[in-house]
Amino acid sequence: MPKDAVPLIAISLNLSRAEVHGVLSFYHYFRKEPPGRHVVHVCRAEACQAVGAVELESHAKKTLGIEWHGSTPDGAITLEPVYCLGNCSLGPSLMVDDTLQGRVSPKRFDQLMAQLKEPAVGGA
Amino acid sequence: MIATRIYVPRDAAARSVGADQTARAIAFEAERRNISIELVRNGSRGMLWREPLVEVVTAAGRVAYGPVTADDVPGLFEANFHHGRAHPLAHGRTDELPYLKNQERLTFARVGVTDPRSLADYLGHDGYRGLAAALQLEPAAIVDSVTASGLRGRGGCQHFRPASSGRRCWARRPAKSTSCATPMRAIRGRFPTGW
Repeated sequence: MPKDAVPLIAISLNLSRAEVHGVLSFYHYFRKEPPGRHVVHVCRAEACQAVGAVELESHAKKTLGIEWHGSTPDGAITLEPVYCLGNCSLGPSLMVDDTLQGRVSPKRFDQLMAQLKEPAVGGA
Repeated sequence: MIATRIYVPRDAAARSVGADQTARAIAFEAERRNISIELVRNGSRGMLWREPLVEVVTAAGRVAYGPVTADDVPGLFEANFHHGRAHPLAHGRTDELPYLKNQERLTFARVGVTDPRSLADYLGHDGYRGLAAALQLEPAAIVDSVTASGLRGRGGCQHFRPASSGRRCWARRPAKSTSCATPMRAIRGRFPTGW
């Protein structure tokens, strides 16, 4: 959602620019810049935290070299927090694009990320 | 030769820990060893800590193994798990596991037992029996029987809700959307709404 789109949306929906900005900045699924080719959501809810999500979170940020909402310089991966994927008994959980992953150790995280960095079979 | 039926759940939790890879590995190993199997993707039995929970149908009933990763599959075939034999991941008969044995399941009675997308499985577990009986009745008689049963609630899905809807007859009302975790039951649930 580029910045220039805000006044257009405001006029179309008969809202103030401030109201549109409020919604866009409140909901993280609205983006000002395009995400990476893959979006990785790491669960930060209580059940996952109880089984190692905090460690997984710092491992993810360190190995990818980015913070929440950031993208790797090669544009491959965007890192996002998420609050409960409903997979509490099999945490730590994350979503890699549309795929739910459970029991994600730092080692498993590295395997999943390596798959994302590989070029698509047959070329993109 | 009769194919051995092997269950590998396809529900989201089981898939999050590799059930799809496990299922593929089982199909691959069975073919490689020239063993005839019928692979069924069921729901989860609910023992998520043992997912992917693989079940093998034997003469004595369903035998559980878990958690079974794709890497465990060749070793399981070596141990003849497809005949229900012993293995470090074996837990014996599924029905005898304390977690299931001590439960009386109603709404979840078929979950984990059947392939949720199989009409044959649903019919094989008494699915649509009530519906078949209801189709023999006039709409007013159906309302009377539901009222007499004392059934109430479920209003959120637009299923039967006589106690909260003041016994109005829905037979002539337009169909409304319904949703439910088990597709065959959802069809059963929305049928009276539209009929």
